[in-house]
Amino acid sequence: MEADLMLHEGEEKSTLWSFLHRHAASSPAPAPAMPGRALDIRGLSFSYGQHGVLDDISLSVKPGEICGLLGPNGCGKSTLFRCCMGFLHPQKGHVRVHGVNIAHMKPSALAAHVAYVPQEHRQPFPFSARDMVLMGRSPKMAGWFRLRRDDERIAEEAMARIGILHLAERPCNQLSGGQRQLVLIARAMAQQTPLVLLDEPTSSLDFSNQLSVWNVLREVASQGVAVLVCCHDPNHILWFCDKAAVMHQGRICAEGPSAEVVTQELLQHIYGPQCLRLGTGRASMVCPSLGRD
Amino acid sequence: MLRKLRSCIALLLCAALLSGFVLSLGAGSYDIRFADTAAVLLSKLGLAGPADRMHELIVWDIRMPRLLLACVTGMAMAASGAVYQGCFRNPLVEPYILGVSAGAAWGASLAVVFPLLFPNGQVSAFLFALLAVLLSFFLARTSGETPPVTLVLSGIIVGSLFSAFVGIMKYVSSDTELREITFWMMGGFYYAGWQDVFVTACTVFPCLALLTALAWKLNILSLGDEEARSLGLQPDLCRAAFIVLATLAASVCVSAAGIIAWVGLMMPHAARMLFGPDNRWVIPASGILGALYLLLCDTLARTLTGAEIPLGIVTSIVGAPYLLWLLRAKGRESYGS
Repeated sequence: MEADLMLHEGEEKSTLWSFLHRHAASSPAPAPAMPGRALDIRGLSFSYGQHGVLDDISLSVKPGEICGLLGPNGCGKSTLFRCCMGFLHPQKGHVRVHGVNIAHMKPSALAAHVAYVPQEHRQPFPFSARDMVLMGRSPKMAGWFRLRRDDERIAEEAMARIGILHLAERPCNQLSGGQRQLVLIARAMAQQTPLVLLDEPTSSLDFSNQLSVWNVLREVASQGVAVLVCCHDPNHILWFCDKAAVMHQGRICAEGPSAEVVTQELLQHIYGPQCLRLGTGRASMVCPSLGRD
Repeated sequence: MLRKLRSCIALLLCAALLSGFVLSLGAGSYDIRFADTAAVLLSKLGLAGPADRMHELIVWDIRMPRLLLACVTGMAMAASGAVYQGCFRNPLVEPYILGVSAGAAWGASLAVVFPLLFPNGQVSAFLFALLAVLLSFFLARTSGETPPVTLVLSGIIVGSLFSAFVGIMKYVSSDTELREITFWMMGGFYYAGWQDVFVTACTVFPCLALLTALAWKLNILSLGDEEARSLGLQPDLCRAAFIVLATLAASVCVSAAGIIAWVGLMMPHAARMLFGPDNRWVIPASGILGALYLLLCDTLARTLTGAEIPLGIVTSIVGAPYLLWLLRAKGRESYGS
C-alpha cells in the first residue's frame, strides 16, 4: 500500500491529482464498532503563571478518526498536547481518554492508552533506532520490564512499516532530524495504543516520507485508532484528516470535517490574506496568492 | 550477532578479572610464587592438604580480603556511576555528585573524633552519606518536580557544605586523629579484613542485582521526564529508587575504603564504548570493569614502591588524563551540545 502512495520521478502531475481523488474517495475511514470518544477535552484552560495559553478548549476525537490540529506558531498546540499527556496540569477543565479523566490515571495506565510523538527528541546516550523503537513496548511489559520475543517482532514490524529498517542499528543521535522523527513515529506505532498524539510529525520530513507517514496514520486509523495530529500544512489537513480543529490565540475557532473547516475565509483569518483555496473536483489545495489573483 | 559479540566481550572481561585476581594475590612486597598461591587456595577449598602457614597468612588473611574489597568497591562505584549518569541524563556525573563522598567523609571523621557518640565509623559514614543524598534530593525538589540540573547543583552545594564540616573535624582533632582522617580520605584498602568484605559484598551485590534488573527502566528514564512519562514510567519515583540503590552501594564502599575518585566516571564510559548505551549491559559491564580497574590500581599502589602509595593518588593520576581525553576527543559527540 505504501508503494502506491509514492510518487516516482517522471510521473506526470496528474498522478498527484489522481492520487488525491483516490484518497478523497477512500476517506472517511470506516467507522469502527467501538462507541464513544477516544479523546475528550472539555473546557480546558491553562496558563503559565500570569500568561494564559489555553482558554476554554473543547475537542474530541472518535476512534478511527484522524483529527488535524491547525494553528499558527505559538497558539498553544504543544501546550494542549502536554496537557493531554499529563505533563502539565490544567487550571480548569479536564481531559478524558476513553472516558477516564487522565488526572486520575497513573502514567503506566495512560501509556497503555496513549502514544505520544514529541516534536523533537534530544538524547545524550547513543541508543540505536532499534532500542528506541523497542522502548515503545515498555508499557506492555511486565513489572520488571522484560522484553519478550513478541516485543522484538512488533518493534521490527513498526520499523518496516515506517520504512526505517535500514536504520535499525544506527545510533539515534547520529541520525538526521527527519530520520529521528521517523524513529519516534515507529516507537509510537510499536506502542499499539488506541489513541496516538503526534506533535508536528512531518515537520522535517521529505515529501515521500511525509506521504508514507500519513499513509501509516490512515492505516492505523482504519483499524480503529484515534489520531490527533498537529500540523502546519493546511493541505495535509485537507487531504489526510477526517476532521480539523483550528486553534487561534489559545482557543478553538473552528472544528468539523476538514473540507468544511479549512476554508479560504478561515485561512485568511488566521494566516492573513495571502491564502487561496483552490478546488479541482473532490480534491482541494491551499496555495499562496502569487501577485494578483 | 551483536548479542554474541557482547557475550564474548563479557566473558573475556570476567576471565581477565579472575586471572588478574589470582596474579595479584601473589604480587606484593613479599612475592609468592603462583604454585604457592594455588596451594593456599586449594587447601582453603578443601581440595589439598594444609599449605605453608606463612603463605596462608599472607594470601588468605591479608591479600584476599583486600583484593576482594577492591573488586567490590570498584564494582559499586562504577555501577552507581553508570546509574547516576542515566538518571541525570548527564554523562559527566559520578558518585561524588549528590555529596556521597563528602557525607561519608564527615560521618567517618565524626566517628574518629567523637568515638563515644559515633561508635561505628562505617555505620556513621553510611548514615551521613545517605543524609547528604537525601538533603540534595529534597533541596532540588520544587513544587513536585526535581529538575536534573538543579539536583546536580544542590548535590554540589551539599557536597561542599559537608566538606567544610570535615574541615572543622580536622581542625578540632588531635594529631593522631588528623592522621587517621587524612589517610581514610585518601582512599585505600590497607585495613581491609574479612569483616569489611562481608559487609560491603552483602550490600553491594543485592543492590547491583536490583539495578541490573531495573536497567530497562533506566534506559527509558534517560530519555527525559516527559518521554519517560509517556512511556509509562513515573520519572520522580523511578529516579528516587535508582538514586537510593546506587547511593547505598556506593556509600557502604566509601565507608569501608575511603574516597576513591574517577572509577565511577571512567568505567561507565568504557562500558558504553564496548557494549553500547543499553543499561542492561552497561551496569553489569561497568561493574566488572570497575573491579578490574581498582584491582589493577590497588596492585600498582602496593607494588610500585617499597612503601604503599595511597590508592586515591593512583586512581586520580590515571583518571585525570582519561577525563581530559574524553572531553577533548569525544566532547560534542558524547555530551550533546
